[in-house]
Amino acid sequence: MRFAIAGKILHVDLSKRKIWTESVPEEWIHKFIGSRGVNAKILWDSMGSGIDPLGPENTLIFGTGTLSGTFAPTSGRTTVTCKSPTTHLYLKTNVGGHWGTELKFAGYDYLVVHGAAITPVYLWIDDGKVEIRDARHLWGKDVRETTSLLHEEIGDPATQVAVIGQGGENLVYFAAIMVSVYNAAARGGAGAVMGSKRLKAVAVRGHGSVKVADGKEFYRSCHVAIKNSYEDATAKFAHLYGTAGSVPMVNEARAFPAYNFRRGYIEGAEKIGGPYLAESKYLKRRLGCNACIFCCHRYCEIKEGKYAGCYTGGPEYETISALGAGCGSIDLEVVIKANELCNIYGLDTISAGNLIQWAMEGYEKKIFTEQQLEGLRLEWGNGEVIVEMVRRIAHRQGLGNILADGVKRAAEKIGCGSEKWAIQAKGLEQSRVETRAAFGYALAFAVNPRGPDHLHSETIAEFGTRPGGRRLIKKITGDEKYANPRLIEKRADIVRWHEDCFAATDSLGLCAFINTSRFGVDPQQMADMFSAAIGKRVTEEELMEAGRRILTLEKCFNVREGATRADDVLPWRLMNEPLESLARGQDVMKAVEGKTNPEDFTPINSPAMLNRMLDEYYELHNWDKQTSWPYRETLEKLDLKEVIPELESKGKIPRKK
Amino acid sequence: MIHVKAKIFSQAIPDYSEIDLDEGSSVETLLVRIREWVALGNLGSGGHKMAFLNNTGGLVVLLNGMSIYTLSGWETPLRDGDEVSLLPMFAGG
Repeated sequence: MRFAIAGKILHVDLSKRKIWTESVPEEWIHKFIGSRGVNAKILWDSMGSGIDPLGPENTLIFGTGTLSGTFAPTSGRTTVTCKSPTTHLYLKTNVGGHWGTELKFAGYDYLVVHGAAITPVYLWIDDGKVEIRDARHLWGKDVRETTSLLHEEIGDPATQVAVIGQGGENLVYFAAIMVSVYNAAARGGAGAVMGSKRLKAVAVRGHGSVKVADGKEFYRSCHVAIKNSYEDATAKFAHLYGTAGSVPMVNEARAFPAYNFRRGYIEGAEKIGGPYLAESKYLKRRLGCNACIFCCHRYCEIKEGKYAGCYTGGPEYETISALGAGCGSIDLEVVIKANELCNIYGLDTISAGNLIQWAMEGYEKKIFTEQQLEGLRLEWGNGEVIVEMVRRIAHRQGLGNILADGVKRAAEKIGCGSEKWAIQAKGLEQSRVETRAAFGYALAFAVNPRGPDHLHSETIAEFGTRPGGRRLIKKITGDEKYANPRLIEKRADIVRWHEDCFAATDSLGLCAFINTSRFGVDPQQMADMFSAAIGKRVTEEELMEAGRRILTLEKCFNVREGATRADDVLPWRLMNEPLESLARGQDVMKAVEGKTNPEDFTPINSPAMLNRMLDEYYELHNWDKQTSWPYRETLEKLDLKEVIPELESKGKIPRKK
Repeated sequence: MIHVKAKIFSQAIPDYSEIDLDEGSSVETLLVRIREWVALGNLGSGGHKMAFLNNTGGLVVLLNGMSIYTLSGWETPLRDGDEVSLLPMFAGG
């Protein structure tokens, strides 16, 4: 009897049209917890270095959380893992909705897709019955149309569908996999990998259930987690205002990227913020992922005007910044419409907005030819052009075809110095936090194996705005004074703690909002729920160590691909240009005068500053500072001996000096 | 005298107000002054706003973009031209 997990990995080879299952090895749950952790193990084992991410050798892995399918709060998260076409490095992208839980109810914890089909197919998983079905009639359809057609074809509207739209079909480098219609496994181009396999969708229906080992203790520990979560002051606001609720605060903290990261502040941001949305005519419903206790997801409609007939999930904070302020717009209708198009074409809103901003700055600097522009007026804040560019990117039309390859490749192609305002590192478009105003974020973004974003280690606590965050910083560093985003001291400790915690959270299938954004559930409570579910005592330290093991394995994937310390950087602009709106920043200097050396507060991620944080970070991990590669003893201590022979054969196990 | 800007996010569209304070005034002095203004009806309808301002444990207070807790808390001195934002505790993005 396996507790908490279904116990099976479902493999599908689309090249050979072969389907098989294997058991989830018992030791993997203890070593890698589940979901993101087990995905990383499967990915490491399934390929060598240097494969083409858009070729049949790439493996696309869907992993459900070990607590998914139970009533553990926020346990509906699923991790999708593959080699990223955007970065050619490790990619995990995490998604909510209800699809993952349904897969578990169908009897599978993991779905591993190998190879590539010759013509479009979809998978139909009906409990224990799995079929590869023809999807030629679905190719070219958007996410909503495909989901509806599959519901009709299968005859059961409760079927959960993971699907790609035109973005994935056209191999847009930031195409998303959409699940439960409006939830996106968005970052890093997992949708393009699915498109390269000509896998249009995975439809799942499951009627099973999940059993936990100690029901009474599991109920108790979940109850504590729920109670503590609701006691955090932000729980109510998460429901009322969604992630969009943080727009006004981030803007006031001068950390809200606007005008392609030229500014960290935009006048009138409240008009695209969560409270404004909540009082507007657009917000129709608040929704939650499986087992959610906050329900921060939004559903909006536009009933009149230019965009009448628009309806969509969202918009989220990241989308509002990317498709709104980042493009110089505070028009909520434009954000909702552009978000709808990203959702139905299956595009990452963060990257889509990033590319449009890059093009707008290029337009201002007159780097495009008339032929490339085809009459487009890419002026800041031009709502029509924001919406139109999303269409052109998804269909790879005109300038959209250049943007569809991601901002790094687009800048390389166009040149004219545009690399300097391409807001990317490792090839991934950066997510929407101004790291020149928050140095913990800066370090976290630089070392993130998938590229610069907030979902491997989001250090909200460093802002020092909330009691829970300040308590957490004290727990990590020993002193509340380090809850200050303009300090570089202790950022390595803060980032590494969050890495461990994020990896454990993702692997259990919980939402990061439960413990590093709201501070209701600490690792001890996660360990309690995990222990009761699987029937084996796991301590807080063991859970966090498993988190570190997972992160280190992900790092090893990148090391095997050739990544070095030189890859752990931030976008050029953020390392070389001071933030304009913080240069109101005179004010910031004044505010901290007498506290610390004012030079520490220059609003820039200078190489010297980043290098100091990187040194401390690698040292803390016991990785070699010169290469950033883990030492043998580090891998042995984390029980990751299996990666040593291959890394050693490639000369990538550094010698300790 | 010093001239300070305050932004109060008790509702979707914040109230902006510019206030003159004595030299050496703190963030707390400013809060007390804003409460007096609200009580006098100088910042529109008061009930919800007053409840918002009285719940100091649930407020995020930023001075020129920095949490006052990274400075000297409520006792942080204000200077001419400072900008103070009072917001509820949002989180997550």
